[in-house]
Amino acid sequence: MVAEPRADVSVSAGVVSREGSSLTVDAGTTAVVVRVPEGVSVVVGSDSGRVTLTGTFGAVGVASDSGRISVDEARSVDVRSTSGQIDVGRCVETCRARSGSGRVQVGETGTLDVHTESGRISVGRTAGAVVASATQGRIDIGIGAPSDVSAETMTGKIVLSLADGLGAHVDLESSSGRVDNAAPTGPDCHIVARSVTGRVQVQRQ
Amino acid sequence: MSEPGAIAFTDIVGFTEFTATEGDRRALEVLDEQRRIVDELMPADGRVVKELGDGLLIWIDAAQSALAFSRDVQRAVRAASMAGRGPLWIRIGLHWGEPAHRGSDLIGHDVNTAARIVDQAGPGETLLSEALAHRCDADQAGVELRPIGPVHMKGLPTAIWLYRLA
Repeated sequence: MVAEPRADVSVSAGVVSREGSSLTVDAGTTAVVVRVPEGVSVVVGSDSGRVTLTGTFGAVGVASDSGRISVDEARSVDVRSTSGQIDVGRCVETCRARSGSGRVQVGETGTLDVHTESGRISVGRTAGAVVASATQGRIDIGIGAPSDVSAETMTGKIVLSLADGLGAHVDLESSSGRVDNAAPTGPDCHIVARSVTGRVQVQRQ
Repeated sequence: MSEPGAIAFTDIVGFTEFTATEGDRRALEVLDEQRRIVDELMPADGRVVKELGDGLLIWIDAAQSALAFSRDVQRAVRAASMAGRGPLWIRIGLHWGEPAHRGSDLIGHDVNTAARIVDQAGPGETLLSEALAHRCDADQAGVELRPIGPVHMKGLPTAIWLYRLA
C-alpha cells in the first residue's frame, strides 16, 4: 500500500466495494498494490504474505498471521502478527504492536505499547508513556521525553536508555539477573522494569 | 444446542517459561491465584466450564457481563502481578455463539473460534469477536472497544473482525 499525493484510490487487483466513505479491497490470494492519498486511515488483514505501507498514513491497523509488516509513517499504529517481523518507522501518536514470534522494531513514536512472545523489541525513541513486555526476548528502548515506563520480560535483558537531561525514579527487579541503574535521579520519568531471569539496565543514552 | 451466550478463554502468558524458571510450586500458586480471581469476579450468569492447563474455558450468559468480567479480571490479575502473587500477564478471548453441550462441557465451532481469538491476544489484552461486540453496549458495560480489523486465524475459513477491550 502506498500513500502519495493524489486525490483518488488506485487498486491493481481484487474486488473493490464502497460503503459510505470506506473503500474495501478483497484481493483473495493475489498480491495487490493499493495507492491512496496521504494521511488516510487503513485497515489491512492478511493471512500470509508481506504487508508494506509506504508513505504517510493516518490511523493504521494491520493483522497478519504470517509475513513481515512494515509501516513507514503513520499518525497511529496498531499492528499484530502471529509470526513475522514488525517494522514501524515513525508513529506520531500511539504505536501498538503484538508479535507472536518475530522482532518488533520502531524508529520513533509518541506512546508505545508493544509485546512479543519470542522476539526482540527495539525502539529508537519514545516521546510518551511506554508499556513493553516480552515473554522471551530482549527489550531495548530509548526514552526521549518525560513519561511513565513499564518494561517486563520473562527471559530477556531489558535496556532502557534515557535521553540527555532526563532524570528518573526507578523500580527495578530481576529474580535471577543483574540490576544496574545509571540514570540520574529526577522527577521526569517513573520507570518500572521487571524480569524473571534477565538483566535489567537503565542507562543514559 | 443451548441458548446463545459468551464463550471466554483465559490463558496465562509465558506459563511454560515461568514454570521452567520458577518451578512447579510457584506455577501452582499462579494457577490458584488465577482461579481465585476468576471465581471471585464471576458474575451470577457465568461459570467455569473447565480448566485447560494454564487456561480456563468460561461461559457467561450475557455479553455485557462478559465484558465487565473480563475488564475486572485483567485489573485484578495486574494488581496481583504487581504484588508478586499472580501471573505476570493473562490474555482473554471472547466470542458469542451457541455451542453444543456434552455433559457440562461445551464443544463446537464457536468454542474453537473463541480458542483462536485468545491466541491472538497479547499480555493483559482482551480480544473479542465482532459477533460479541455487536451484542453489547460498551458504554453501559463501562468499557471501550477499539477495532483491530479482519484477522485470519488458523483453521477458520474466513477472517473475523476483532475488537480490543480498551
